Amino acid sequence: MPQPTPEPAHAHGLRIQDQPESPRSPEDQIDAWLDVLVRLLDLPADEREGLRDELAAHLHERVRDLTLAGTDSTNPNTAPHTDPVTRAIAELGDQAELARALRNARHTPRRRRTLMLAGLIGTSAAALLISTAALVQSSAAPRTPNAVAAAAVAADTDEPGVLEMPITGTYEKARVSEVLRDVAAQVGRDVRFSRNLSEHLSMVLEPGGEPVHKKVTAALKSMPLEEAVNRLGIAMRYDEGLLQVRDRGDHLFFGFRPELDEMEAFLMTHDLAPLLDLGLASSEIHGVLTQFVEPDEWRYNGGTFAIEIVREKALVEAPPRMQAGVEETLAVLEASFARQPDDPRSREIDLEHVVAPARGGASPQTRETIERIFDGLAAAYPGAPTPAVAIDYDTHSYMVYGNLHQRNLAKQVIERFDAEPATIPGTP
Amino acid sequence: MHAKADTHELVILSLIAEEPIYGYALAKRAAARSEGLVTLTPAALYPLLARLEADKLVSTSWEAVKANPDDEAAKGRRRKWYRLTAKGRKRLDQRAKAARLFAKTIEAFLPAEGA
Repeated sequence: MPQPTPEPAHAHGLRIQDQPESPRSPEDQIDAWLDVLVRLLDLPADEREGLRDELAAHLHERVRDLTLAGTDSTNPNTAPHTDPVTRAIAELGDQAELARALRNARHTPRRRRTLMLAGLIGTSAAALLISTAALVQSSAAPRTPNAVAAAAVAADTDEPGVLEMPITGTYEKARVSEVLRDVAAQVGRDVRFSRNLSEHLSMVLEPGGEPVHKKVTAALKSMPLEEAVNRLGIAMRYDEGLLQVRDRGDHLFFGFRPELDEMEAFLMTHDLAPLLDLGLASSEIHGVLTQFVEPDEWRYNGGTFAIEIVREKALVEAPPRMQAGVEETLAVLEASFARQPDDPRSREIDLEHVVAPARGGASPQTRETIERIFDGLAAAYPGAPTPAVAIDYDTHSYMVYGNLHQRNLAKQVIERFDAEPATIPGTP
Repeated sequence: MHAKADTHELVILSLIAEEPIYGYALAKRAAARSEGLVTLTPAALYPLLARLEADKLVSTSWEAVKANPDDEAAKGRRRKWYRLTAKGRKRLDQRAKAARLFAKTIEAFLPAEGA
């Protein structure tokens, strides 16, 4: 095989800048490189592991071939000290670009549409979550310490002021870490990076080598902080929304979305009783949630986050964005299947006084007729509330207890059977 | 699709059609067969293979690879093998037909060798 020209040195990373300069085994170097790549993939866990294994096999075979071939002194592009591992990794190119290409390749057109729909649901649901989260969490199941901590993190992010503050700056091949520091300084915050982002932004190629910094060219013109960070991510060839920022009070925290999602995931219960009352099955609700709310992210579909339905509750361990998606989807389902007020199974029960139109007042025979009709309704609409009828002799009225459909039927019977004889239709 | 990507797809589908093969071997065979004229870099090869798999043009399976196959306790690596599907065969036939037509068309305009 011809020896490919190594990519420019700045494109590759093997270890964090601040780590001690200890020689690492080829296995460790390859693992470290793959760790960062896999974090950037933003794919379901099984697909991430598959790509990792495939690329690991490639790297090990390539290292073996390069080692057997020895130093290629005839190739002017190969630095004399370049070892087989460094070179094999260099041939794979920049992690972010490879991750982007792999992500795009994996998404079929149908899957892209699904993800877009899920994204729309998630976005539109954000406001709903903020308004309902406190209410729902008050009835939540006991939460793990991790979940409590994560919820605290989520609460910290509910400060729209900082994330919406305008950012301005023009950067020409500037170090990304410095650009993000500048962005943070504009809103009066210090800055911290997640582990994977830190590894990706500042790396050295080999023990003793100079650190290589990821650079970016971008122009930000008075745009909200969150949007500015996304714009920088796109300028670095990341997918839309992959680079994220959180306001942590004294500092801004930057990281990749999958990392932050895992950090911020918390346990929350969602009440399913209204939907179950409407006749939906637990399995149907589970199916809708795992197909329409970021489908690839659920453990059920090979992703990371959990959803289980226990009796009348959905237990969901997921980041705030997905919790909002679940809440929104449940609301959409409830609105779609909600019964009309006169639905025979409606549980909106009320007590209504119906004055007997006949001069003789309310009649036990009419009440019995109504009760027989109620018995027939119970057989026709299992699950409907049980109605009742009684006579109030003081007011010459019937007291009808039931939903609107049941009360209306009772009223029809009363109007027909208690009518004055002369007004009975068809009577001469 | 980009012309280069078309060529790469034709090369990859053609080699997979010959026999099941894995990524690294595929890159080596493409270079050897073309005497170095076709270079499938990993950055081009693996995303393309992923797309072919997503489009169901190839099917895949995994093979456990161990330094010592007799050592059952050893944790080995996994190698991903690619096979052509019926849909992939159809795509290969289309690509080959287009490539032959292109070569024939260009041939008509080339001056005689040494002229």
